[in-house]
Order: sequence, then C-alpha cells, then structure tokens
Amino acid sequence: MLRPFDYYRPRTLSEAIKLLSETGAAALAGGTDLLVNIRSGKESPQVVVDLKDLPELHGIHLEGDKVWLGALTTMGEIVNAAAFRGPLGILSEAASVVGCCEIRRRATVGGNICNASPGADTAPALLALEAEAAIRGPGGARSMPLPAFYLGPGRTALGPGEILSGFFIPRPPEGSRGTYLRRTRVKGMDLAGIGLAALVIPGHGKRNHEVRLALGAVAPTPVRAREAEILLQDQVVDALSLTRAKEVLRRSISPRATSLRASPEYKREMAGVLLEMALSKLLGEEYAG
Amino acid sequence: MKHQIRVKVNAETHEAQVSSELTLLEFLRDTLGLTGTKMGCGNGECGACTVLLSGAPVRSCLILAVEADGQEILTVEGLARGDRLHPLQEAFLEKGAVQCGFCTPGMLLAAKALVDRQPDPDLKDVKEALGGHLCRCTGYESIFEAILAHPR
Ligand SMILES: Cc1cc2nc3c(=O)[nH]c(=O)nc-3n(C[C@H](O)[C@H](O)[C@H](O)COP(=O)(O)OP(=O)(O)OC[C@H]3O[C@@H](n4cnc5c(N)ncnc54)[C@H](O)[C@@H]3O)c2cc1C
Ligand code: FES
Ligand code: FES
Repeated sequence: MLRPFDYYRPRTLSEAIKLLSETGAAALAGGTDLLVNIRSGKESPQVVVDLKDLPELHGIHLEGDKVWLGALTTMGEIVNAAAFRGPLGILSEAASVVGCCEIRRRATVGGNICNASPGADTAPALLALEAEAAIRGPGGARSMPLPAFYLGPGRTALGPGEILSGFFIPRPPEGSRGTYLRRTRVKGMDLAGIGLAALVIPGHGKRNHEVRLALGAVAPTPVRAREAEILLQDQVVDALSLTRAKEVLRRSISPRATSLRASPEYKREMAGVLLEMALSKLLGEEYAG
Repeated sequence: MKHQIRVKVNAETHEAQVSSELTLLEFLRDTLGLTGTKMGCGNGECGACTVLLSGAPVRSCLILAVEADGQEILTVEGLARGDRLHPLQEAFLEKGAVQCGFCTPGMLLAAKALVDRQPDPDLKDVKEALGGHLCRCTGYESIFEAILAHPR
C-alpha cells in the first residue's frame, strides 16, 4: 500500500501550475521514479499532479533549426522516432538502454531529467546535444541550458509550481555522429555505473571537427567534459592526443566513494576506456589511435 | 480521495471507486480478485506484475489504478479462450517452462506482446522482451524455448 495522497489530472497548464504551487505537491509523469520513491518513503507528497493530459508537454517536431522534444515523450517513443536517427541518434541510443520494455513504455525523458539522478541515461546525450530545458510556471515561460537546470543530486532549478515542458535541441550539422556507451554490473536491467556520450561534428578534411563529451554517474550531476573536449578539438585523433584526453578525463571527474555500482577507481579507468571505444566507433578509419 | 473509474479487463467492463494511491496491481488483485497477476518487488524490477495496458506490457505496481481509467487491460486470466489455453501457455507446458509459476503470468504477457508485434521472433528478440523479468527457478532456457517454439 502506498501512503495516501490526492491525485489530480489537470487538463490545462494553468491548473497544473496552480496545483503544483502548493507545498507537498509532486508532478507525475511515467511514475517509474515517483512511485518507487513514495513506496520507499523517500518522498511523501500530499498531492500528486498527473501531467499526462497537458498538450504543451507532448510531441516531437521541428521548430526552426531546433527539434522540440516534449517532456512527456517516453523512452519507447524516442527509440521509434525518425527525428532521433542520424545526427540526433545519440538520444535514442541512450533511451534504448533505460530499464526494460515495460519501463521504457512509461518512463519519460522529462522525468529522467527532473529526477536529477547523476546516472540518468538520457542526460549525457542531452548535454552533448546542448539541449535547452523549457520551463513553464507561475512566472510564465523561461528556458535555460541543461547544465544550469541541474543543481545537485535530486535537485533542479525548478521552483514551486514550475514544470519542465520539454527541450529545444539544436540540430547538429549533417554528418555529425554520436554514441552513448555505459557500463552496468549485469547484462540485463541495471542502472549505469558510468555512462559516456560522445558527439563528433565533422569539419572540412581530417582536422576541423568538434568533439563533445558528457558523462553520467561520475559527479553529483551529469557533466560535460570540456577539458577533454578541447584536447580533441581540431586534432587528428591519434595515440598521443587520445592518451592526453583520457588522462584529463580521468582527472576531471569526481566519483563519490559510496556508489553502490562502481568504485571511483573503476569509474576513472572506465571513463578513459569508454572514450576510446566511442572515438574508434565514431571516427572509424580516420581514427589512428 | 476517491475516483470513479471505468476499465475493460479481459474484455469485461468494470466500474469502480478507487482511492488515489491504489495501484493498478492492487486494483486487479484485491478489488477484482484477479490474483494471477503477482506482486514481487513492488518496485518495477522483477516483472511479476506485468499486464498489457492498451496492448503494451507495463508494470502494474508502478501505475495507479486511476491512471488506467478508460483503458483496456489484459491479465493472465484473459489469455485462454474458454477451455483452450493460449498457444504460448501450451508451449510453456510443453517445454516445462513453469516451475513455481510465480514469474509465469508476467513472462506470458511480455511474450504475448512480443509475438503480437512480431510473430516469428528470434532469440535476441525474446531476450530483449524478457530483459526485465526475473525467474528464480527455471534458468530461463526453457522459457526462451517455449516462446521460440510456440505454435502460430
Ligand atoms: C526497474 C527500473 C529500472 C530503471 N532503469 C533505468 C535506467 O536504466 N536508466 C535510467 O536513467 N533510469 C532508469 N530508471 C529510472 C526511471 O525509470 C527514469 O528516471 C525515468 O525516465 C523517470 O521518468 P518518469 O516519467 O517515470 O518520471 P516520474 O517518476 O513520473 O517523475 C520523476 C520525478 O520527476 C518529476 N517530474 C516528472 N516529470 C516532470 C515535469 N515534466 N516537470 C517537472 N517535474 C517532473 C516528478 O515529480 C518526480 O520527482 C529505472 C527505474 C526502474 C523502476
Ligand atoms: S512487482 Fe512490479 S515489477 Fe516486481
Ligand atoms: S518459475 Fe519460479 S520464478 Fe520462474
């Protein structure tokens, strides 16, 4: 039995914002984190506000040079969406490893980000894609880059009554390729011990590329790895530049010692291994490492 | 807080008053008496509570009964046609894919969703479809075999 609460399913954004402005109110999307947290006593909302009937939070479509991704889009919908193939394919790769079929049918991308777990699988992909979080609340609409949305483990920039409505994702140039790799304790369903998203944006010729890297489960929030990116930017990726980037990556992360899934030593080592695997997958024969 | 809901379970329409915090799993087992659906972990991890909601497999322990209002649900009790078992149930018997049986209802419904979508799955598809289902008895092989061999 779950602790009692009152359930509302508002039809309009203004109603939802009003309900969520009260203390003790929690938003419900797919419920795959919230109901687990209510059962364990980690959260005990008096009011649960189901967001699923809010049209503003649904949909995947092109808006100018950006893709709009509604917060309520499920992992399963992302995996099947034509928009998330090619340059944006990194997000569907990440969504495809979340939980299992039954979890992906319900779990939403908005819930994955709002739950603010350091190891959330879609977070490194969205960071590498430089997604912007779109917020609706009592003060109207605002948006911010994803790194600013994350304040710490389980903490986001959302104020009382605020709802994450979705993401604006700039489309990387044609020919960009990304991948998301993670390490889990078992082959089946498990949370990431470490996850790495890499996006390579081609330039002209061998050198002028941009590499974006982001990691999950290595710091209090999912993080971009800018120092390592700089070492790979516009470089022919060879044994030397890769060794330097791996070293910087290892030093730039701060895994906590109390993780249930992997030790800090393992995570530091694996960050480098995943980087090498990702680059050899993305750069293919251009990669000389 | 109470809510009036209307759901179709195994082709039969039910109307009921449910409280906000009642899970779909509790509604099926305790309100409707359909105890074929099992409660294992209660946290989405074991798959024992899997049912089909509007044709897709979900974890009924992580869904509120009120969220299912207006939708169609299939539980293991709805698989057979009268005295005739579903071909997947026949195959599970044939291959000895049931020991204690606790995981079986969830396995069957996940398998049904798979073969409805993809009548001729390979081993990789089966493993993917059952990736979130635990079985503490069989070692899984007989379950995979049953699904791969089920009569179409
Ligand atoms: C068995 C199991 C396996 C899992 N495996 C993985 C995994 O492999 N990788 C992974 O990353 N996660 C995993 N998870 C965690 C979870 O499924 C994901 O984080 C999921 O994306 C959460 O989305 P949801 O829609 O279910 O969120 P909910 O549970 O509905 O909400 C999560 C939190 O975000 C808030 N919230 C949700 N949407 C909004 C919004 N639009 N605006 C404001 N606040 C909002 C809620 O109030 C709540 O605090 C797993 C969970 C389970 C139970
Ligand atoms: S009881 Fe629902 S997944 Fe275990
Ligand atoms: S048969 Fe006993 S858990 Fe699967």
